[in-house]
Amino acid sequence: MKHTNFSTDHPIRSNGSFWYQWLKMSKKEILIQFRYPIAFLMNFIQIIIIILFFTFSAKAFLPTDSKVGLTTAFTGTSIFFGFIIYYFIITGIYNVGNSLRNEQITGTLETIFLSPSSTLANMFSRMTYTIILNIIFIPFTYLIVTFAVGDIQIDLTNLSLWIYIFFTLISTLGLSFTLAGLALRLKEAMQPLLGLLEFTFMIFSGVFFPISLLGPAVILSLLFPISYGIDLVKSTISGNTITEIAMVFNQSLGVDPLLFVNIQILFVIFLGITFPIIGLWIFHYTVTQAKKTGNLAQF
Amino acid sequence: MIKYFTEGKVYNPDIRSNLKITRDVFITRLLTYGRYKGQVLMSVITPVMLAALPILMGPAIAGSPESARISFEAKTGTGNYAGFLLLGTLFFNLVSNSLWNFGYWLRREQMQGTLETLYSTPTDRIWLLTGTSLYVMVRNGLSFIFALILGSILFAIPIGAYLQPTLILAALLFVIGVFPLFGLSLIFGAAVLRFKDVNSLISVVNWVFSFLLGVFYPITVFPVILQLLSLILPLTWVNNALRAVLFEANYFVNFYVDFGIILAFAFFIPMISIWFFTRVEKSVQKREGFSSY
Repeated sequence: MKHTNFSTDHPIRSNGSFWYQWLKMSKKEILIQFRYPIAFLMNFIQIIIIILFFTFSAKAFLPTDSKVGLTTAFTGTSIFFGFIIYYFIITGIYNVGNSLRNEQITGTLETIFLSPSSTLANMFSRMTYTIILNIIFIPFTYLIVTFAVGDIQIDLTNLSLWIYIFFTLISTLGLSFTLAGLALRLKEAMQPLLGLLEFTFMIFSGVFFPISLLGPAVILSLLFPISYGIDLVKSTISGNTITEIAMVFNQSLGVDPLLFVNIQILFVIFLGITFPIIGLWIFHYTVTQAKKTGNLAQF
Repeated sequence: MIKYFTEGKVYNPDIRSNLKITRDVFITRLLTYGRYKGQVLMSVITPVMLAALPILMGPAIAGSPESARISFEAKTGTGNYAGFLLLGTLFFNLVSNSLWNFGYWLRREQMQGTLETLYSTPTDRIWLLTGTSLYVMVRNGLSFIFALILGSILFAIPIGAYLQPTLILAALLFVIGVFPLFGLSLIFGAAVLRFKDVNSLISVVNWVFSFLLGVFYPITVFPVILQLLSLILPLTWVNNALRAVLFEANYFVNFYVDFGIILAFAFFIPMISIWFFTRVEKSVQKREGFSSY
């Protein structure tokens, strides 16, 4: 993508390639974040406390003399992967939308979208910092979960596990773009919606517990596309060939569970490819509409 | 009592005028809050959804709802884990919101440049602070009650569990518990006046409070050092006493001792907080004033 900038001093000036712009914008975003070291430190404290929260919460439900449950490698591994997916979902929900909302409030949003730079590079640069942060969190979480919960067994050679994680996480990008578009449109009303989404995802995506515990509300879980990826990751960790969602469909509609698992895998891959594209389209459409109606600067 | 000179005459506001100011501040803040309907709705839904996490996790960890109930009863004295956890989460939400609401009110006035004006008006600021504190308590108290009703319906907690004579005792405990909470809010207010942008600090304290209060678990699952740290917080006692009164969970010592300790906290914490807040106020007034943010 090539943009031109017309000015009296420099007749035509190129702003560089997409990647160049992305690199520069990402650098700017990271520099801004470095100005708030306490907020950076806070992220780590939050992780420790959230993990301890879940650990002690689980402890309350275990028999006093229990040697199983929290000490099993499966539970530790599930909690570990649960947290990784949780980080990406949460940052997917909040990151870009909040960042654009801040630009809206400070009055710089219109300037950004009218400048001859790539909107896509701008959007990706806003995600770069949080993706880097999330990657830093992974080994940190590993250490904390190992300390608090016990053993974690990660089979690095299990390719399918990484494929499921990859496509599940990639589909959260689509969610992020969609919510960023909505943030431009809904403005302040977006905050309560984001809060609601956060908890809805935490409960209905089944990150931290089996969705079968939701009872009849399991239908809501099936409506969240991300639940299918999380379900695959969980069943792979536990070594089950049949996923929990496949069992739900088997019990309610009589679908062959093995066949359903194959469809579920294809569905997760399909979502990983299409969701970011759909999300970007929604975002682009919202920006274009806002430019047409002239309310990009309103907040 | 403050005296003001207007056109050569001494203006000495009586208690009625001061109460009117408190009422006006309270109504203004409540009306402003009422404009954000989404926020009002979320204040009821969010804590219930938060409580759903440990409530649903319990049977997953224990193996079945019955095993979860048995294990939980052995540690807390009550098998009603849904009620125990819902009440704890709602109480924490009340604490957290009270800290944020009061601190944010001061911060917003600071940022809008109206804090100094408020301090310069011919009214003792204690009446303004009372109006705001009252608003914070009423707003969060109402959210608490509605969320408790919603949560009880969703998690199938029999409403009969509340409709007992003990409800009056619980309401009394709740009211007494508001005093130490008011004190803590003042300390946060003092931090806002002194350090201005304290978002990160409030976040950390919020997390630490939520962890130590035993929101998602009884504090008996903690190691001894953490238990002692938890018992230093007055709100841990209030939270546990509410659970004990409504769901027959274990008291830390017994009813009388626990209640006595809560009363002591309710008396001393606000006194210490008011003293601290006034000191910080004077120091800020002497140094940079209230206009900087």
